[in-house]
Amino acid sequence: MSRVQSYLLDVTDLKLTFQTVEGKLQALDNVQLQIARGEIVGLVGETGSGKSVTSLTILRVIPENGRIERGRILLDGNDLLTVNEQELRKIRGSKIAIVFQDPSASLNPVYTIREQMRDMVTSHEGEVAALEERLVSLLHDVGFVQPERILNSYPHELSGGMQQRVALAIALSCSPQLLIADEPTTALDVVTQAQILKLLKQIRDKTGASILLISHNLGVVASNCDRVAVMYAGTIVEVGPTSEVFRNPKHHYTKGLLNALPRKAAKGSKLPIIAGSIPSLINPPSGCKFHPRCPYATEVCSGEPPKLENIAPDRLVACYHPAGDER
Amino acid sequence: MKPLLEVVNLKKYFTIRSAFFRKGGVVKAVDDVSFSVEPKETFGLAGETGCGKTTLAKCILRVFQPTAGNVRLDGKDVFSLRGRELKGARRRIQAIFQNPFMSLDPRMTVQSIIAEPLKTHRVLPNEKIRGRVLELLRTVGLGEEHVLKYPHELSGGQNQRVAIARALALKPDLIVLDEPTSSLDVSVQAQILNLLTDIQEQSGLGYLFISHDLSVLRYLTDKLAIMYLGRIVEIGPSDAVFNNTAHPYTKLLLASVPEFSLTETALSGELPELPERFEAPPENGCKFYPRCQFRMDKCKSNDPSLYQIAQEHYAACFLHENKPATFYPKPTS
Repeated sequence: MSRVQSYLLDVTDLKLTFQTVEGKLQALDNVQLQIARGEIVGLVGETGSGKSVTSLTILRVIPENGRIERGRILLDGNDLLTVNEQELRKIRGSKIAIVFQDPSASLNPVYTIREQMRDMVTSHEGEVAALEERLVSLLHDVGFVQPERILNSYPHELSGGMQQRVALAIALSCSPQLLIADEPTTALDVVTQAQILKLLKQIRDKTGASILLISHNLGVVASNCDRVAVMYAGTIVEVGPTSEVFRNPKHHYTKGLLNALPRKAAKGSKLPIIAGSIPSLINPPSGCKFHPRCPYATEVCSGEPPKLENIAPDRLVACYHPAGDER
Repeated sequence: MKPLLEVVNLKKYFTIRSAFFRKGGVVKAVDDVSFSVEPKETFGLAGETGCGKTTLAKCILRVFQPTAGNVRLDGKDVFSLRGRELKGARRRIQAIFQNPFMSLDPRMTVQSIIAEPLKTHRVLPNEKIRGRVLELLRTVGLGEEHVLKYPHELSGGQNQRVAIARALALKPDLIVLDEPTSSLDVSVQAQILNLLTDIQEQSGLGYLFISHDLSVLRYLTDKLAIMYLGRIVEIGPSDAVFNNTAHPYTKLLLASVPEFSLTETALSGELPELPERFEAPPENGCKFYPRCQFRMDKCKSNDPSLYQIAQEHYAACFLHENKPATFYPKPTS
């Protein structure tokens, strides 16, 4: 890495496979991802590209048939892949917290918000004096004006956006250094989505926590992240400052994806599409996984997989023929 | 031009029975909605979850019997149709839904799925059905190799193509599309949107396109209606609704779209603060009152009618009270 800086999270060369009936599925291959302190990094990709699996691997909560073949996940210098289960339990929740897509599924329907939050706080900190004030202030931080009322509510009494804010309050209760938000707004309406995203930014500004924002929605990532990483078929193909990547994509997959958005297309015009479809991860294509769909592929692309390399300071791309500048 | 589809003062209320811990009441899912779709036109319907988009679609498809109002196809009320006439009307309106895995029978092959409407409506002799199925599959970009596949063997995008082929089988005049690309990835969405544009160019059918994705609607639609809690709050040519937005709710929606996906020039409307609790909309006032930045006292007790902003562009808001109040569209007898 050219940046002389210690990252909070530093994932290198991560490879994860799943043993399935049909064979070995290569879910993640050579994943590189760095997150600086206080930074919001977006991870975008289509269904099955490995976004969520990446976040689950960081927390080491992968399903039983999954195997981490190689790689390193450094959090603050400690390799999460070598620490034992006991230490890991301390890290989960307190150093790394996660919020998921569907808040109604991550809250327990038969307990009030007070009971669920109390469990979370006491399981990490033991008996807490002035617990009530603590819960009130946590809810206050996620934008509730009358937290006492929320504490007495059951999840079904709250709207989707409010539930997601409660999930955020629980995630933040142990002041994590890294917050993973896995599609946090996908189940919400646009207006609520915008409010939750604004809240995430406020949380970062206030607590200095780093955020990994996972989304399939390019717009969500574009307007809220400092840097963005684009995933395709289990590898990261491009990384860079968000506005740079979206204005001037270097990888032909990123480019194709941006062009396929109807945002700028004139009415009735054809949307440029990416030919072909997402490859099987059981028998992935050799070399660059995008080469069978890439209009610029040459022989070299099907040989050795391209490395994720700097093409400019802070711009990384895994491509033998990166797109030219268009400015 | 005579409209293809007219929806006139349509209402669909659901009564909720009072249960052990809950009060009964009436949910006005669709409340006095009127609009019309011209032949070969793409009419968009936008709004958040629960605003009544799908209920409206189901009324048009005659899945629900509306509480009041009419749905007319070529001037004929579809709810008064019976027997052969009804079957004829069904042929002319087809539907495509959000999740193709749920709208396709998992135990039927692609061939039998597409052939089913052809058989039900007896439009072709049996020996010609296979040929027509293949033709339809080619239209939607699939081939002979897919004929004997089951839905679980196909991807989401491919299944949605099968659903489109099934909808096209009877050569309808109007297709109701309820969030047809919402469960698809961006690259697949682009393929499906291109396909829909192609089909419209070739066969000149009308689309009623329901979506919460404003960038898709802007790209695709000629006219657009914005719904809020069962009402149309703004309606007009898409360009006018996007560029000359009149209703505060539409403005809020546009400001909330992550700006990148819609326009490069940021639509910087400041978002209102997070709501504390659901504030129930006033019984006799504007439904948007609790969330509105521009609310006035009168909005609480008076329901704004649609005011004419410009030619064919209407908004239900007292901010435009100086403009002529109208019914849209003018109810035809």
